[in-house]
Amino acid sequence: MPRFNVFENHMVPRHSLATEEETAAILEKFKIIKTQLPKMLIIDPCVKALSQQHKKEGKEQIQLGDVIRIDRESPTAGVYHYYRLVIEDKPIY
Amino acid sequence: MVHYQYIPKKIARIQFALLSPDEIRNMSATKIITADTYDDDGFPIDMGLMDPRLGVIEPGLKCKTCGRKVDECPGHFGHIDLAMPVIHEGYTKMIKEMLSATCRACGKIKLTEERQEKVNNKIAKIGKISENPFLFLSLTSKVRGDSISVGQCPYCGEESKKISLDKPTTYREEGHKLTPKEIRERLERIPDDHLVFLGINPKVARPEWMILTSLPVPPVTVRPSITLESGDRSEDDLTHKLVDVLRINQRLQENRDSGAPQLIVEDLWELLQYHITTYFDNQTSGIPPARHRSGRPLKTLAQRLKGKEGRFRSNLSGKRVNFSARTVISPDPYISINEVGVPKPIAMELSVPMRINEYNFEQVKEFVMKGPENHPGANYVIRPDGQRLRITDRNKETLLERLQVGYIVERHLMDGDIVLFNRQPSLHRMSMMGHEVRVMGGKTFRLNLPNCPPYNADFDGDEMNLHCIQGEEARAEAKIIMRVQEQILSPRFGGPVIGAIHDHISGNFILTHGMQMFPSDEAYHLLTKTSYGGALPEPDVIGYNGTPLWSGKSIFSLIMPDGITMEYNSSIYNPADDAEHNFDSLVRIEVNEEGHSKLLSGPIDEVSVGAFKGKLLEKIVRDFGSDRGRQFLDDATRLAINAISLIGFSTGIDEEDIPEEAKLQISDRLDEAERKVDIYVQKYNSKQLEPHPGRTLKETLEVEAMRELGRARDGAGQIASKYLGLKNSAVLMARSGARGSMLNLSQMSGSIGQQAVRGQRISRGYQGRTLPHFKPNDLGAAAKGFVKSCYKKGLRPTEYFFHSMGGREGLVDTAVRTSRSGYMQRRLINALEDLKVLLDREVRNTIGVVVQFRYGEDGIDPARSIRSDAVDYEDIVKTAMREVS
Repeated sequence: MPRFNVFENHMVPRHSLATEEETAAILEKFKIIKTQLPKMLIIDPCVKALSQQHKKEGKEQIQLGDVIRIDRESPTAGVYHYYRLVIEDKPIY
Repeated sequence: MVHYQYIPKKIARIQFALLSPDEIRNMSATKIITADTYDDDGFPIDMGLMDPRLGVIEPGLKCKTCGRKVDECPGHFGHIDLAMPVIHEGYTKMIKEMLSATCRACGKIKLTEERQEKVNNKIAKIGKISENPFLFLSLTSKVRGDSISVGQCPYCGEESKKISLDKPTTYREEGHKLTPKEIRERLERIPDDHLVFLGINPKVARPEWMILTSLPVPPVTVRPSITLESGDRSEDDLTHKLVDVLRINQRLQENRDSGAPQLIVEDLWELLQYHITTYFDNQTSGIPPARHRSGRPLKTLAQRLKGKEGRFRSNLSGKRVNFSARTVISPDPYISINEVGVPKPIAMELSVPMRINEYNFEQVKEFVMKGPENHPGANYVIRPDGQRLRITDRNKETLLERLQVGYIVERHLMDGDIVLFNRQPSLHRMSMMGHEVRVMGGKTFRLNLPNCPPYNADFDGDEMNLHCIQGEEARAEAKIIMRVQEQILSPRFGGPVIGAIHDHISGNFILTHGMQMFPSDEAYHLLTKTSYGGALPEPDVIGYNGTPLWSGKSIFSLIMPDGITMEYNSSIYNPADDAEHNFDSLVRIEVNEEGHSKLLSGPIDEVSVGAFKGKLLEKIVRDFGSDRGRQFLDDATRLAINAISLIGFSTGIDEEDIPEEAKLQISDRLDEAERKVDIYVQKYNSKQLEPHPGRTLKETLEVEAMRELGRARDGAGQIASKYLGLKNSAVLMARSGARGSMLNLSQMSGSIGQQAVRGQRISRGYQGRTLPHFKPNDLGAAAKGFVKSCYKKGLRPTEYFFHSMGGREGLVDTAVRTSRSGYMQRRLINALEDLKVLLDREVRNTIGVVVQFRYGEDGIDPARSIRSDAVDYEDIVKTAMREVS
């Protein structure tokens, strides 16, 4: 259980679960399959925090294979949408 | 769009396994028994280390195993049967784990059957191990760890004993030494179905194979011997090592078979172990490296692969190339920045392949006719069947007759060819640019000076590399993408990295500063080397005797493209002064009635045309294209050189002379500062000093002293610079940004100032003092490294010492910084090397995984952006406003 919410830090961009349609649109737009998306570990603090938030709101849990949408604010690009695929935690050798 | 699903080839599987002794013998072409290589007549000895069945290295001979010739025969392994088993150095840790995890009597894994079943179920759950190797590894390493900690065998009840490993290859069981033979016997007892718990696939490996009983001998092609000019043979390091192995192996066998004392056999056994260990890795910790007769450590198997000089970094990640040249560089201000001067001997050695067609036939014939000895000639003719024929004076007529369409002729490098030019370290893309060749006399590459900043080159003996492009596609890329003029704007900050330096800036400054006037002959002379071919405009003034005169500003205006309107502060702009004083430090460029750009006020200096800063240069490249930008830069630098030669420019240390009264003022200012510091010290000693928030008393004193002395140095500099005006060449260079700074000048004629080590006043040396010249615990200015003198006057002995301390730190810092940033660069490049920007601005790696959906998140090319905006709004608005009014 994380002791603090990473989303409260102003440097952490907004994370949310991408909907099926949204994911499909991205995959279609870039002509890629899901595994070609950038990845993030399921033990990533942001995934954990998002899971907890979902739990509180009674929404579905984050699972392997879900796509997380990250909205990054940038002075040059406005809001930039980034999508990451949630993958399982691999021991790091 | 590239569809990454259709990657043409994919490695399906990699299997790691151990070589069994049987396999080693099966793949062996011959058994090696003699340590000798060649007999007295120079023929290889059968069953020796150079046995002809191991492959061919001499041209003309055929391999006894496969019958192929040199370069066709891949070489064949042999083997040595070892008299006694020996531990493989690379598996010592694994052997220890396996001995500890299994029972010393029955060889079974020390786990109960239920536990084994559980583990087996888990493994079954993982499914294909090849798809999830990390899960499997973490599971087995845990199982192994558990088994090691069990004290008694669950099958036979045997007590476990602690195994320890004496680096590198000695195992002990509670003090009792285990021979490799005993270890091998124990490992042999481990049942096949228990191996999976140890992380071993019994189908491909058995643990006892980690103890060698026979040693593969690499083919001679791996360890070729070289024949020296004297006719002597010199063997490869690996062969030397194998000779050692064989010799000891033989002696060990003889001694053992003749029933020699156990002690002698054991000694020889250990020696064999040493030789085999160093054969694999001559840098194994715990044993001395095996050395050559000369005392040089041998380069054995591990050394061939490891590190910067190893196979990977030296032969696979990087390679030596043909069609390249390297020599010293020297400056040439009259060639274009796009060009490079190539010495004739190099131009005649490097060649460009030319395929003959009906249009270039006559031209090619001329090259062949000239041959390899005359400059625009040719070195080789390549027939369509690939046969390469060297052109000589004797055969050129016959070759000429045989030339046909479709032949390729390798002609000499000529003026206008595009080549790549590079200076190491190649830290950014501007370290390798495309240049046009200009063949010249001499022996050095000639480089125009604006190219120095991107290459970080100077002419104190720097060497650079040149690569001659061999293909049309590469040539086109070099010309369109890599050409110097395309690199003027840096992707780092969007400004010019290529620009005027040093004398180019001084020259333009003295030409355009104030109201320098030139009669028509001088004005034309200034413009001789530029591309401006027109007549002079209307004269600016008519001289007292009726001679028309042109200002430097007007002359400079001639080389600018039409239609520029700009206004910015030059480097001599002083924000403290009012507008009137700053009149000629504001650069104003406007379009006159005829539509030409005109420099109305302000000098052309670093801010206008300099590398890294040049606003005018940046605007021209951006608005008028790289071609016009290059032309402007070439013109501006040549104009500057002509101006500085015409007007004359020099400096010397006596320019920094200041009048006696100024010296007195400076000395007063410094004395005052010293007194102030003494007051601080007094306050500190009597504890009356008020500490700054968050600082100790001592720190407060240091901060105050540093600040006071810093102010004193600046004050001294200001007093000195009052007496040094723009008439002073050194000041001119500093103010215009050509070279040096006002700080350098104030250190020459004012005061050098506080010396620091690690950002602090100097405080090391003796107990309580820096040097014996001072009283202990003296915290005053002089005792802590304040240098009151200036360079002109000279330093006092103590000052000189402190100055060296500060100087040393600077040198150490740069040395440390370069090595550290070099390593950082290496890691960065390795991480980013396979990233690629696709046509639709996605960033992906080579396996097709998206890294950024849009390059840099905003899709903006930083080299073309204006302060990270894609469009220069300010300029657009200004232009629009002008057009309206």
